[in-house]
Amino acid sequence: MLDQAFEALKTLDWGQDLAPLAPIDEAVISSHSDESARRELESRLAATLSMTDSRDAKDYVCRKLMLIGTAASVPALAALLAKPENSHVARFALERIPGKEVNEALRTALESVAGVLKVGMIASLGSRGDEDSVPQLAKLLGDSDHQVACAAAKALGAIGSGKAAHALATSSSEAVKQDATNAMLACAENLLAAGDKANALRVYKHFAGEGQPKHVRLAATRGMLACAGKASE
Amino acid sequence: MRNRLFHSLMFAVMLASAARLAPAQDASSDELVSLIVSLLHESDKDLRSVAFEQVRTEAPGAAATEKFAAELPKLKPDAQVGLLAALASRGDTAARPLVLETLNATKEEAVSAAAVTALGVLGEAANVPVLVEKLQADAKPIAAAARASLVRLPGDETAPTIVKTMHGATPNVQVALIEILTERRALGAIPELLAAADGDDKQVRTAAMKALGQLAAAEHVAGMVQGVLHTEPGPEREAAEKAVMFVCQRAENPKERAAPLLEAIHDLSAPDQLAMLSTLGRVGGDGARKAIEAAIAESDTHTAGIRALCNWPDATIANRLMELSKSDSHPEHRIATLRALIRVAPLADSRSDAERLELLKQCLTICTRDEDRLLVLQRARSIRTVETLRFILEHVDEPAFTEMACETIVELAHHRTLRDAHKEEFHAALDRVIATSQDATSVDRANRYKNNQTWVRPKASAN
Amino acid sequence: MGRHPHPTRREFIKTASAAVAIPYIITSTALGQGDTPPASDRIVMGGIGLGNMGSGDQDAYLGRKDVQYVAVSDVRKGQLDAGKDKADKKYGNKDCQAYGDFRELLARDDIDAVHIATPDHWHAIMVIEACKSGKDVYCQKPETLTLREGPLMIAAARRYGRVVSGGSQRVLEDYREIVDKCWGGELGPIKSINVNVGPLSQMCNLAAEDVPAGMDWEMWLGPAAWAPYNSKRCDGNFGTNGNSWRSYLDYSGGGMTDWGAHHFGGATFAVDVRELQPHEINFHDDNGKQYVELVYPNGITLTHNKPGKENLEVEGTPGEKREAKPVPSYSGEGGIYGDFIECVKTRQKPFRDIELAVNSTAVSHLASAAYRLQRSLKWDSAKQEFPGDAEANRLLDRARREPWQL
Repeated sequence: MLDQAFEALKTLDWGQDLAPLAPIDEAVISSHSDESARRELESRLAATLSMTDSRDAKDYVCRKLMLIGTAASVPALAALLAKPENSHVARFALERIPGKEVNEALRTALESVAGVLKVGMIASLGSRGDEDSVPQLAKLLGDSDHQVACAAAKALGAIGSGKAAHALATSSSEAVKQDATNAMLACAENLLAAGDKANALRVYKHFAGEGQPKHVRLAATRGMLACAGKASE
Repeated sequence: MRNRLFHSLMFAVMLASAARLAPAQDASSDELVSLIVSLLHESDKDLRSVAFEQVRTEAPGAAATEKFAAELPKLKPDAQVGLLAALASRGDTAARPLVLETLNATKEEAVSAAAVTALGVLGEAANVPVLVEKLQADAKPIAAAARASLVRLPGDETAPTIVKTMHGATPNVQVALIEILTERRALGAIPELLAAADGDDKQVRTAAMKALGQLAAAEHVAGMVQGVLHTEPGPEREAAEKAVMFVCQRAENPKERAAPLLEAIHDLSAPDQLAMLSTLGRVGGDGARKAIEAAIAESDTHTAGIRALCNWPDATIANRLMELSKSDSHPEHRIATLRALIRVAPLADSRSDAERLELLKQCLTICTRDEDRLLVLQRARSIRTVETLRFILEHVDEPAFTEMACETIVELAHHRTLRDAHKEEFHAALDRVIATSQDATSVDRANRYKNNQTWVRPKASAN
Repeated sequence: MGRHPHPTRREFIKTASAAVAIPYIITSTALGQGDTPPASDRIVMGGIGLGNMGSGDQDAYLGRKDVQYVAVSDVRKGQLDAGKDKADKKYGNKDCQAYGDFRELLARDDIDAVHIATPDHWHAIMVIEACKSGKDVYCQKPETLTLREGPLMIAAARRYGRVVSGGSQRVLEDYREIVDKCWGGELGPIKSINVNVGPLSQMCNLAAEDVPAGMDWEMWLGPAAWAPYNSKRCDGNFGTNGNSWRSYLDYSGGGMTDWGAHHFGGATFAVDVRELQPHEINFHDDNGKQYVELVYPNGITLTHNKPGKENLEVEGTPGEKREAKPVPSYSGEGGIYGDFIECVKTRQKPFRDIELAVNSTAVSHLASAAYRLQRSLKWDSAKQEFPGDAEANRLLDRARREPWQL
């Protein structure tokens, strides 16, 4: 049954019934307590990526690898990151697979892709909270592609560390102002929660002054009050 | 444009300094409290809102609460309103004295209402009198706030204090307090409510019986029967009977629902027993049925028995109603029993949908008046089957029934699972509604259902 | 999307000359007539997503005298035009602005609040972007599509002090009888409540159809995985049987989240666990009848589809009395919409504050995770993760299609 399902998968296209693939779905669940079966299933799924031209089939495989993929699938998935039709579904899997191999693959791809695909890499690195990507993301804050620069700001906010906050603070690009502001405020919340009141306060002071939109200044006020409250705990 | 949000960079600097300098283990949170207090006096509404946010959740402890509350007399009315709401959310009773002081001192309606609302959270039983006084305020927002606050005012002694306040109060106030006790589910007030249900003032009696309907248990039914007997015939009596019915219906075993009522009326005089027949009919059950049939069998109690049977809550007496609707010697009894039969026929119970619909169809064959036929077509919508749709469609083209039939069709179509399961039939039926009905709502609904859109049943506009 | 310091709308109105860029200011209705408040006291609103639910939401806000409705956004031209027409008819002018891209609407500094009624895969991005733009938000339920989205939405709302209300009117209005019994103490201490709702959403593999004129398909998909247009894939009807976006995994959690937002919302309100999230999700399979028990830290159990149980059937403690508690309700006038507007004015938290909404939808997501993995789970609500369960943690979120990002 599983063999037939994999055969059907190779030519999957939109409009076809998904029922023939049910054995694969079932195997994903049933292999929960059978590591070797799961690894074999992963291997077959990853191999399918290079055995089919069907976009729909690759989409299906990536959804399954999202659930059971490991570092072993990273090369096959990473090979799709630069392909406009498959880049997102590859990240769909990669973003949820634990391990440094994924971060490395995303950082490598980040250097080689452009436009919205680059935005995708940035978003996934942010979502994974990859601290090691901060230097690369910091450089992208000044990228001439507005979407790339804003994505970098958002990702740094998602990472939320002191280094991320520092990178954001040194950015002067007006184009990314709203996203960078939000990201810095998010970083400040993390810093304060971690007990680094001085650096959190530095962020809030920066946004409390004239020249900021009102809701941002109000956010900074909240932040400074939170800092004051933190001191008294 | 410069705005006065940070009428100061100064304030920001102050904040920053405070946060930096405050000692790490300062339990008093004095600095934070001082900052919040200064923000309360900001002229900018949005900045004050930040202060209110802080008052709600930050700087815990009574000392901070007292400092925030101490600002109340110094603030302008709109800031007072905000701070009172924030203190209420904070929920610390340490603010109570200043809330009361503000309530006494203010002449502003909005501030009064806010203080009364805050008292509902922060107050205690001792504040019942002032809230009852505000309940009678001419200003509606204040009266409404007082009512809500009396409902939520905490403390074990609050409900007993409200009960004491009822004595000597005007009937209007008594009614309001009874409603408040009901919302509080003040079971301890039941003896007072029973007394009020037997009192002289009609509106107080009505309110008390309604409250008992929600709060009382089987052991209170005997007392409630006295209340029913004390009512004036008409709407007051009907409402009182329903209150007894609600209490009896709460019995876990449906067959025993009438037991407390039968026990309560056992020792009543014959006329009082007869007067209680109607209530027995509403409650239903074997014992009630027996008493009612006995009344129907006697010529001098026949009418009362018929009326009682027509109140029956379920379809178990359908055959009997059918029989009476055909055979009773009084024409008005035949009509009453037929209409009762049409009412109970579609009620959901162990019968199948087909059986319920068949009974309704039989009713139609007995009807001699259009108003009764209309009732059949209206009641049919409770039976959500495609067979009902087919039955109703037979009457769309009869001018006297067109609008009612169309209304029932759209009511049936309202239920998506039914409509989707018989798409073609429903679409054809909705087309007939669109072509036939003169009622804009029915036509609109038909169009919506055909297009797989929803229709939201209108509610009274509150805006 | 760069922003510059601006006066607030109200300050602007008070000082502006007649020659201003924002069209509604020069309308007669903006000046306030009769019992209509002047524009400076009204809440200026726009709507994003004007289909089945969105048009109803628009009607509700458009019907309020304390709201000035100035902008609409939708990816379907027909719905966009209909939304604009409705507003224009209401005010007797042509001032309502129509945007195909919601970001243009959010960039307007004169708008105080937005209502959002797009498919669920857009909710988190739009709510967060709206908060970043200083807007208050009324967002239709289910407010989240994944577990990770919720805390980020709450953080954005709190960061900027925004009023963010979820959109289930049924939580308070449909289950009042059971709510009153629970809060009134009639049932004694509550042990459990059951919810019957479903099904889970499924993968969609519908065939490609031609994209109809006036439909921005790329924007409809937005953060969801690319897929060819199919009318059933994006139909906004309320079914979950394959003929609507509510049926499909990329856009919805199915009936489990769609009606679940109402039922779980009502159930958690009735038994007063709205402020909590479950910490155990116990999966049961009794001879093929699968159901889930969600256990709260205070011991109250919320069951889903438990055999033999009615929807919102409560198990209390007969014979044990419990003190009545005042039932929380809406502020202001006009149901959940009025509650939102009142809170926008007073800056208080609405009845379905985003945090409570997130807790309610989390129940749907947690139960769904147990069904999808066919096993029991633990949940750490503070860390927002399935502790020590790498497999389950993969279900916390999903990568968004470029260029979309939380």
